[in-house]
Amino acid sequence: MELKEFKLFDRLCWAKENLEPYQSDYRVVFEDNVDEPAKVLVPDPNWMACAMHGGILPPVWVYHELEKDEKTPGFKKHTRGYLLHETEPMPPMSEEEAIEYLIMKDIPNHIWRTWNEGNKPKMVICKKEQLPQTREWRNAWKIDPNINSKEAA
Amino acid sequence: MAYGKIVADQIQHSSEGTVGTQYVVSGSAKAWVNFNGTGTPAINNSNNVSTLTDTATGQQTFAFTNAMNDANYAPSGISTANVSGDANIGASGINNAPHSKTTSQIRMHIGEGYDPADAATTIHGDLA
Repeated sequence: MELKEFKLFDRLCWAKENLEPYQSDYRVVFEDNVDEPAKVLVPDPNWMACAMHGGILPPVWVYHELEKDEKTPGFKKHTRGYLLHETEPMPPMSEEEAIEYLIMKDIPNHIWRTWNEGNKPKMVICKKEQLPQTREWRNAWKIDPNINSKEAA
Repeated sequence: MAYGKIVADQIQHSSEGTVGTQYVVSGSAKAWVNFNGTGTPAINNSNNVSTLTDTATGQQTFAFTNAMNDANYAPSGISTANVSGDANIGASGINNAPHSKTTSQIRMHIGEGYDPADAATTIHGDLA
């Protein structure tokens, strides 16, 4: 059998045993709620290894379809879970492509679809070294309104 | 590279008896993550997690790679205590904001009011 013929969870377990985790230095800072501090998205090292290996993760549209199902009134449980398992997996991604995938998967779409609309960017991709290290800063975080959005992209 | 599969309804130990594979499948954790929440958070080890989002002090959102079948899964979490030398273990809970627990993400308080240096969460339930 080929790896892609296994269910997604089995592919993930295989990856955990056979792939070296990849710690990405990328972080994604985004503002979701004006009453809350900016959030920092951290990629999972095992997930990154899967993305860069290829043949394991489903395309991101699969997650959007499941999210759509879950938002349907009266939703009880998934009936299209097969999309996760049977959709042709993604080919190997670069680190940057993997981060873009994660943004579309795990950040609310009203943020990443309109990240640069309005008075200032709502989302920034950066390196972890660029983030303040103390919580005193974190709770006061706002994305710098003077940020050059072309650089941020 | 070859990938194998063994189909079995039971697993038998040489001396300790037999267990149905359904027990193993149903009872196994479907997602887990160990992380350091101080400074810029970092994931130390995990399975079936795509991202950790530092949501606020002592609050993290975990996203699953293989979504859960429904939102009635069982999360648990634990962390080191806030004060060095304190024997207490940090409590955990689910955020009560809307959409804090979906089939694909969960927002938890692991280390209420502080960022734990060593924390973990485990998810039991049914996969999609």
